[in-house]
Amino acid sequence: MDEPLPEYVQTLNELTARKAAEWNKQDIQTLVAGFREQSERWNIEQSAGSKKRVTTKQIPVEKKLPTLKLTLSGLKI
Amino acid sequence: MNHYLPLTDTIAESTGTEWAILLSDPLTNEPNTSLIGTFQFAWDSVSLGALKKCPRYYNFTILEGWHQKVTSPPLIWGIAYHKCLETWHKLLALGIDKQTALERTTRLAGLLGETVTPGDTARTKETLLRSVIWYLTQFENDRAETTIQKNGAPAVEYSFQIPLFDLEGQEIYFCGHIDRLATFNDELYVTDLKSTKMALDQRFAKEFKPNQQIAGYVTAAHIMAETVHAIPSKPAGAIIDAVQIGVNFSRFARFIIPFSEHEVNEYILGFEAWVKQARKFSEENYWPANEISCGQYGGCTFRDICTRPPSERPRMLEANFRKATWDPRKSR
Repeated sequence: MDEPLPEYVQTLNELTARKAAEWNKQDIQTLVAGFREQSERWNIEQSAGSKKRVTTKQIPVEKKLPTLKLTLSGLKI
Repeated sequence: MNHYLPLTDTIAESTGTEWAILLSDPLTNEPNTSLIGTFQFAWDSVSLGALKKCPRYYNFTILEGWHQKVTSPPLIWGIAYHKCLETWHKLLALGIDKQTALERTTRLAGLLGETVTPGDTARTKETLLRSVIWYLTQFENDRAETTIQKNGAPAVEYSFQIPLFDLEGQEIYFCGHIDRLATFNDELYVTDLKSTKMALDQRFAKEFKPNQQIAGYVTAAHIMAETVHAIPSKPAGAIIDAVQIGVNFSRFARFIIPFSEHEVNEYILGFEAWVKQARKFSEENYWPANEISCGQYGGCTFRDICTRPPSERPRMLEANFRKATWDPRKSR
């Protein structure tokens, strides 16, 4: 089973799902690093004979920026 | 139609003469330049394979150009995988550094992955990206070195069109696109990329000998080395560069398939015999069904058509299939 990652972490799965035309250089480098990490983890599982799946949902790629919800009413400067 | 331009890492609506990769279904409905009426004078492994499978299937797909309305995920995914690795080799041969080449190939895999039709969980944008990146990581320093042609271009997606014999005054050509010509352990090989869900074991390897596609490419390379000297030496055989694709993994293996001179000569004899047979079918305007093939590989796509009377078939084909041209003389 997939181990869920915290909500504030973007996964390789989410980055892959974004339109390829919109990826910037950083995104592409992150994708390559993410898929390489998936490969390394999958090889470890294979060597151990665990038959555990390593999905792109289990690969963290970067932290998401927090969404701030500010209420400015009543604020005095 | 949208194209990807690997040299500038841009997407353009249409292009002039620069290197551009089409980002949509490569099968279009254009006139088939390999035909004179219902006789085919330029053959590739797909059309020859169709004729061998079933003359009526050949008539439907190659002569009349009927194809499934939605191109199957394995075909689109396979073409995309080929296109990505071809682009990688071409970028390197043009002197682009490996990091940049990897980034552009990754972009291309993402773009082409978005064109894969749904319905197969092992053939998706994600599995294409993963297979390309894992392959390029594993074979970054590939021991099979791409042959560089006399004009300096790398021998990848190497197109050929060879006059093979004369049939009653008509030159008959053998055409195709070799994935890559490479030197491995000081010998030249025709390499071919294959994707499968099957395990990459000896049973899988046995599919490639006897195999009319691989034997055809080795034969073509032999002829090109011997006659026009476009290739430095005769190939020792073929390397099957295989990927097993699963939903969450890609596994790679290479199989060396040796081919001897006598196998090459036998291939040419067989080719001639089949083309002569096609000529006979064309003259008689009758393409018999080979019922032995109806149930193979999950069943023929025209099974339902063939169960109907001949008079009903044109209407059924019109309703259930689309017209698309498979032209051996054009690169995809």
